[in-house]
Amino acid sequence: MIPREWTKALAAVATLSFLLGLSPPVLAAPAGLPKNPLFALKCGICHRPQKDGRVRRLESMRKSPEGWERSIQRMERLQRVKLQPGEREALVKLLCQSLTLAPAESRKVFYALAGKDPREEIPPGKEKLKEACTRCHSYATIAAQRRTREEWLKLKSLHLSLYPALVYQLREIDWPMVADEILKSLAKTFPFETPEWKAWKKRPAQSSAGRLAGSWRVIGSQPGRGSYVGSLELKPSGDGDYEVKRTVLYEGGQEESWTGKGTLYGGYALRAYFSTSEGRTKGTFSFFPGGKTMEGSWLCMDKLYLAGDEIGHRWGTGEAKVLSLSPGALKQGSSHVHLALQGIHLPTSPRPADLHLGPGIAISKILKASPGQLVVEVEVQGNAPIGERHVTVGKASGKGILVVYDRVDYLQVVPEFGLARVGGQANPAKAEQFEAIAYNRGPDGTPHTRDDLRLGPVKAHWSVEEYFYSPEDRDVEYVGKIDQNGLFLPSAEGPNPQRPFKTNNVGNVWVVATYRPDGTDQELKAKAFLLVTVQLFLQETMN
Amino acid sequence: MKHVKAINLRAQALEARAKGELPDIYALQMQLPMSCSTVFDPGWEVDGMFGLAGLCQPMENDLYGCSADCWWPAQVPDELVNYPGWSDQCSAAVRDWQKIKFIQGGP
Repeated sequence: MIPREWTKALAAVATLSFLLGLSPPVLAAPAGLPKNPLFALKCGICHRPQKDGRVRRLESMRKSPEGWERSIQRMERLQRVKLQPGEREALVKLLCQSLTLAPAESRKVFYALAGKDPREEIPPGKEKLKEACTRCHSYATIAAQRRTREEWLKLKSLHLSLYPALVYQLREIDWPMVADEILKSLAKTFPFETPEWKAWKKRPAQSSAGRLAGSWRVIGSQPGRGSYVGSLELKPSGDGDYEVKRTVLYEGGQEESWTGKGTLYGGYALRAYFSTSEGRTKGTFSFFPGGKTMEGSWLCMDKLYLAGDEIGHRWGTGEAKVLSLSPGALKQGSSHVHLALQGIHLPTSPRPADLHLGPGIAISKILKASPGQLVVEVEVQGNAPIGERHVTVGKASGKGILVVYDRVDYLQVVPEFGLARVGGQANPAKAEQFEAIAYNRGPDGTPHTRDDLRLGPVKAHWSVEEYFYSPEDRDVEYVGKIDQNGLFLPSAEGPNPQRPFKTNNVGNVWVVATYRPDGTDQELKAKAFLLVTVQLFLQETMN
Repeated sequence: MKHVKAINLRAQALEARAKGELPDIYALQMQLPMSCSTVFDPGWEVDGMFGLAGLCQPMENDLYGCSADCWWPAQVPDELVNYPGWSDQCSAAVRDWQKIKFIQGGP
């Protein structure tokens, strides 16, 4: 028991704080689902608190903002829940106060939440899961959820009620039996309570908005357009919402400025929506504990080939760092190269001797210096050793952002497996953006080994070639066209009377990049597989 | 087998596949969050041999066979539970495919 004198003293401090206008002490984040009138009205009729105070079903599972959004959409579709504009987002925000993934858990499925990678790697040893689950939905759909054992086991009934035909669809396995087995395993792999979640729950509830607000230094790249640098300004607009301004400058010299609105879920996951000249664009940002760094990704929902990945460092932390260099690859024997170092809290009046780029690279001039960027002129000796360089300037440093090479040894086309969808009339088309990445064989002298040096995207010549699969299908003539920036635009959907069986403009082809490095007569070639397939009729998670 | 030589295109393609020119692909997730992958035997996007010859040609020939009994509920609205009546507005998909509704987001 607290001694009476202590209680009196605490009361006196609290009264004094109030009289002096000091902020109340920071409260711990809510452990469960807080009471909320909107929730009570829209959800509470079915999801009532149980005897132990927990809200039925919901407080036994955790999901990403996207996962909760999808669940609420299902309630609207099947349980006749009527929501006004903005109410779905408000409910997601409420649920994510405590019933979402911890930052460390979210990071493992960030690729899926941001929608940035069309392929995913399923951990080894999950053969039954591949048979029974991931043939219809992604592994991230599972890995982005945490449930109690009871809740995991209930998913069998949920699937059978929502998709009753799946037993026949997956008839070569005994789906109900396999599902039982898998769900028991998932209950152990992804339990409701985890050390990461317990640690995250202890965060101060009122600190996130103030901690993340302000200006962030952003470095990123967009396939097909190149790298960019810029800033992300976050201005709190109340209740976890933000006004977001994002301004970036591409390496080609184009500047883009977007403004939009964002919502912070769970104190670390920001989802922002921008209206850009290309269409509605979603930004998915995840702030790391400490509020000094973040990773982000953006995707134009009207043109899915427009996408980028970026990292951010917060201004004002005092931590100096070199984040990227442009160009990031220097050729032996190059002279008068203008090298731009992008970073944060860089020295503003450095001398050439303060900058170290490794043996064989001499800094001849400092051309520009600011806290975010340093532009220097360098000379690369003809015998500078090839390999990765550790860059330092004053207290700032950066690893893996600069390489020295002697020649381009080979090309790689990414993505190695492309997916495009016909469309453009009644259904949206999905284009695919390819890039040709140049590589050097690396210090071991052998190409296609782990020490190869990635030199970055190059301007290649693009073409499409037949992938021989079905005799005489002549897919190349029908599936679409690739432009000289590596963007494949598929043809329209619908039956094509000019093709056998009036089949669609679908097919599989090779996408070929050809590149001749400067000063050589050697032509490098690489190719990637492209599947041009049928359109979607459903995109549930688009908002 | 080393004395057998592929002389037509399909045999050459099979030979290339056997040499491992194409690694195994197990999922092609859609470009949107929390979305779904494919069934490859055949699937909505691709057949079991990672081609398109195994799909209905054209797809519209059997579209309602896919939607009514929810064969690919991630890609085509199923009419059994989630989207009943989706195809009511278009009785002949091959002819009137432009009338088929695309469901984007929301309930």
